[in-house]
Amino acid sequence: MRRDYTTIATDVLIIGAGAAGLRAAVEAGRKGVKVIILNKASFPSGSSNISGGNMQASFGWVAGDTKENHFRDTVLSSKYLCDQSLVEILVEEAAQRIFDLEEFGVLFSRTTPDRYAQTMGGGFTVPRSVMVGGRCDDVLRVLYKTATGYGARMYEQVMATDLLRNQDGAVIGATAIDIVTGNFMFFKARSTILANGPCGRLFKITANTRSATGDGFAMAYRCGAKLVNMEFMLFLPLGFIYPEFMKGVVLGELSSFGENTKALNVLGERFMQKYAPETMEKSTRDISSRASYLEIMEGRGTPSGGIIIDNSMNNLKESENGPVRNVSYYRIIRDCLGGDTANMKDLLEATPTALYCLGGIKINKRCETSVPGLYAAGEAEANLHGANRLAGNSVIETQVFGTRAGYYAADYAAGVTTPTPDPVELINHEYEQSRSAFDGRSGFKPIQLKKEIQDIMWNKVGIVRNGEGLIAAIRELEGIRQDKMPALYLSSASKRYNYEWVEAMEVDNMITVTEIMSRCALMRQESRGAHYRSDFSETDNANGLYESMTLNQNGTVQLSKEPLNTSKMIPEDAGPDG
Amino acid sequence: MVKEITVSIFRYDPESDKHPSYQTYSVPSKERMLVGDVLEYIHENLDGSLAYRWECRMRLCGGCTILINGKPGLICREQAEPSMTLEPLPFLPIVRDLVVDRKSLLDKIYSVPPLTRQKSPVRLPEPIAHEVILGLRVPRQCVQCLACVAVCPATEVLTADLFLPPKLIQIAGFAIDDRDTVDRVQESEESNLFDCACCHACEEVCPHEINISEKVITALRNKTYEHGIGRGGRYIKAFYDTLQAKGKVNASGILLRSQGYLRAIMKAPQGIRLIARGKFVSPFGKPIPDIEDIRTIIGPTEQEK
Amino acid sequence: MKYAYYPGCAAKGSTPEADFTTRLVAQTLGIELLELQNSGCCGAKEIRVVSRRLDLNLNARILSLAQGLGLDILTICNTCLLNLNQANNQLKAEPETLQKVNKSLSKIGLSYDGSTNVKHLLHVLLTDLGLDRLKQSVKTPLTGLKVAPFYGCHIVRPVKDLGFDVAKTESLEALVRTLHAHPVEYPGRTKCCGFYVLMPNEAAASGMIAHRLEEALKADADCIVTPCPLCHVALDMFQEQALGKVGIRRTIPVLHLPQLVGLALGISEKNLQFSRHLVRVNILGK
Repeated sequence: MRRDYTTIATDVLIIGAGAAGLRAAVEAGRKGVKVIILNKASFPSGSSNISGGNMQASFGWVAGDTKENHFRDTVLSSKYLCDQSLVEILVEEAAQRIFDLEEFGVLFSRTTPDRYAQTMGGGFTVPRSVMVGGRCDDVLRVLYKTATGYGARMYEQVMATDLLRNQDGAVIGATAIDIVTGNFMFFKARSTILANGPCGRLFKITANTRSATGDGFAMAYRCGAKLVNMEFMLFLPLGFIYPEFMKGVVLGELSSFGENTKALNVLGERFMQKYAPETMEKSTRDISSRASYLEIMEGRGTPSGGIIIDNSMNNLKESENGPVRNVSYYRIIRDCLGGDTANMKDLLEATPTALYCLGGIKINKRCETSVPGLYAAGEAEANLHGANRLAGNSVIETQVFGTRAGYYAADYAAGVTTPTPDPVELINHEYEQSRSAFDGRSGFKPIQLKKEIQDIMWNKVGIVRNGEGLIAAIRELEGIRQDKMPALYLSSASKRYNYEWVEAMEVDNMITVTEIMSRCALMRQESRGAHYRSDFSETDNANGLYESMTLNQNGTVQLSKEPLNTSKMIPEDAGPDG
Repeated sequence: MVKEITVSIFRYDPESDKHPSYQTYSVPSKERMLVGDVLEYIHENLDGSLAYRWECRMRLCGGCTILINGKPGLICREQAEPSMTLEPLPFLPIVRDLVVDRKSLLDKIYSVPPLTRQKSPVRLPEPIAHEVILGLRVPRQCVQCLACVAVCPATEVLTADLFLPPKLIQIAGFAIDDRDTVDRVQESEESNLFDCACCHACEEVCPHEINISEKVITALRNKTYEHGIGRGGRYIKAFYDTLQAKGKVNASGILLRSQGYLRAIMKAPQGIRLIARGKFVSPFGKPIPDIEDIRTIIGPTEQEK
Repeated sequence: MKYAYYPGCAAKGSTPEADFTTRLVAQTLGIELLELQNSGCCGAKEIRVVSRRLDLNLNARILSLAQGLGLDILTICNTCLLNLNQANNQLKAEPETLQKVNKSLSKIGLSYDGSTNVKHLLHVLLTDLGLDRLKQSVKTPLTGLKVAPFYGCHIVRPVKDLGFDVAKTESLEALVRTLHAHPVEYPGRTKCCGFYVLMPNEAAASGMIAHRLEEALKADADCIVTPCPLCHVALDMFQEQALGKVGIRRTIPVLHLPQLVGLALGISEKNLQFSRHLVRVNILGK
């Protein structure tokens, strides 16, 4: 029997409505195909919307600003763990994608009327990031208007639940739930792009938005796409520690506050002395995050569980807003913590926070995944960043690979000519699955399990990991999957904007991705970039130069070590580690 | 001692409830609590069935706006108060509890066309002064949280079909861009730019502290005035002319100058009553004695943006 | 207490009773008012549309005239208050702008140094005179009179330009209580009267006026009191028409702030010039 659902057909289906999804929509729309974008939240949303909006591109305007340097900086930052064929594309196409954005109407800061202002970042050879004024939300609005101008249509508050495949194994669209009405939908598509990467919500403390629960990774994994480097999660050293609601929201970077910023533990010690005596507070964010995390975990954090930033030695007159140069952040700090704190006259408390998943769905240059008809873009895709990411490389990634995904997915869609009947049985199955959350009457609420998972990940699969903790984490996550998830229940039977229902589906995705992340982290017996093992604290180039590959083998996680694409640079000839 | 926050929340499921009701919760109070913290506490500990929306936690998604003690605010921005009533935004269809369907309004707002050029730029980057970029970025800070819509007296009377502050804010995000070829003046007039009552209520609730009256309303009106078209432009011109003629302003003078003699006469019944009460200022009255001073300092040579 | 008195165009033209009663009340309370003769218009919300600079010139001229007298300005109009304050703040914060404006002023033999303060009658009564002293001067306590305080926008917002949050501090309510009257609570107290829409869109303005009046009527107020002559124009002159359109037959008198104070100070009804209102003031004896 056919369940009650609505079928909506399109050429290209894009899941995720951040900068990557929207850029893909623009490109596919330009090619004249029908485009539908699914947005779990309401527009504007996604990680790009809340990012600072800095984008790296080489324009060659200043001495030393070459594509080769952008390439080299990116590979060095990745600790050689990136796919160099993707990095080549990034550095080659970045400038053109910035020009595209300008043509669509984005306002990039200027030094002179016809030159973009470009800023420095940790690990840059030269200042290379163009800026949109410290906020990226306007980029999203510009892209949205451009995409809809080409005929793309966005379905908001619609959560994709799973990808469906035909008998040949090609993806033919996705099932979804309209969060507002609770209606079940089938979006039938000739090709599908996953642009719903962010998964910061796997961790207790994150800078990511509410929706960032790794849905894209889980969906890709379930339908058989290869994931790579899933052990690499990027953390930032400084996030808001309170108000609780905002915990983890990015506060800034140690180096960005000023020359004389001091990071202190609760004893008043400048703890960076222990971890990085030479670079101190100017260390890269992986090192700073790890130091802060260890201080807090070892009991030297503040009562609120943070470290202390002392900016009193900085020149407060440098700009109108003191060292907080971004007026949006300035206002948030002022409103939440007071004017003196915002003006850096008072101490600031901060916590490390989960920012960005460096691993993701394996793509080739055409943004094709290992499953026919399925593409990926933005944070969902990998492996551009390897073990660590340069600031300013992620938003530009959304543009470069969003464009490619849209272009090639539209091409693919045009080549699919045979009409696909609704796979009613599969849809019915998904329908039942999605509604099973309503069957429970007692046990655990989704939010409880969400919090349990987030605690496990933060404590055992977080900034500092070890074998014992990872094994424990895997066991505990399995326990949740086997014992607690079947005992889920929802407080309300209403299908209308029932966020517990959404959370129940999220928990399912979260448990899938956390298990993958934990297993990959256990497999990598070394420390490299954002992945730090206290039991293997050294980088091991003899054994560690591999791309960790995850595949769904009949429902179990199968891991393998795959050779890296090191077409241009290999560790030996690269000189000292950047 | 644990202090408590008493919060009364609007509950309504249009599918199952006949009427909305209010439900009261007690939430332990702590330092630096946002309204979002109160709702999260309820969601996690007291009542998972309460529907409310949030996404980014940093004032950028605009999706979490509700009425807090009658005043619109983002739950990620407003501090919790010891006693609160939380309600959904007015004017919009209720999805459930505090969640409203914003689509009808957002579609209107986003209907403002983006930067549109005559032809593709010859070379990039296009030459554009940094000051112009900074000016355009002010209105572009708007995140369509709709807080201003909830307090706008013009929207209240005219409905959002005729007057929608965020739409004007969108238009202002392109108005001073020389590259743009859309007729933003006509667009503003069609959006009833001159129906803004200049009450500043929108600015008071704007989470991004956009100076709407200056950077949006006055800026767009200025453009309209310079084009010299439409009822708004005529009205401003009449005001300016009256001031230049008399050094002071009065309604009859402006009316005479903006809407013509006939319209002024039509208002006569009201005028007669005003004359009887000594309130009618003749449009043909004498200017103030120092009129030349006024003319000097507001003459065309003094104009500068 | 001595001020450079700047009543503004509206109080001189459309609501002469506001100007007249302000002088009477000031005299009774020992507040000396020296009128800024020939001061002209502040530019309201319109001249800044022509050019911000012209608006600054007009306001700088007024500020400079007061500076010449060595006095702070007392105004009885909300829009004048906001405009003068906004101009003053900008001229103080931007020396370059002040220089340019002074170049214009020099053509008429004036210059401004940023030293003038601008106050509204309400501020003067609250802080310079003080409610205690006002209380001592009350001769006819307005006991039992239910008053709807209607602030008017430009004395309330934007707070950063005005420097004083009259609405949050409930200053008008406190003043009403000082006169032994009862301030009613109602949602419209800081909302907009619609004055600035009267010219461009009378129908819309009429709707706003009706909303405000209805809110006060619902709160069972005997009268509305406002510190702004523009609000008075909207709420009094256009009352009959606005309420008529929404089918309400009742009316509610609208008093200027100095009229309400004057009433409590024992100034006669005749001198308070209620007869100049379009809506009959029928509150006496309540």
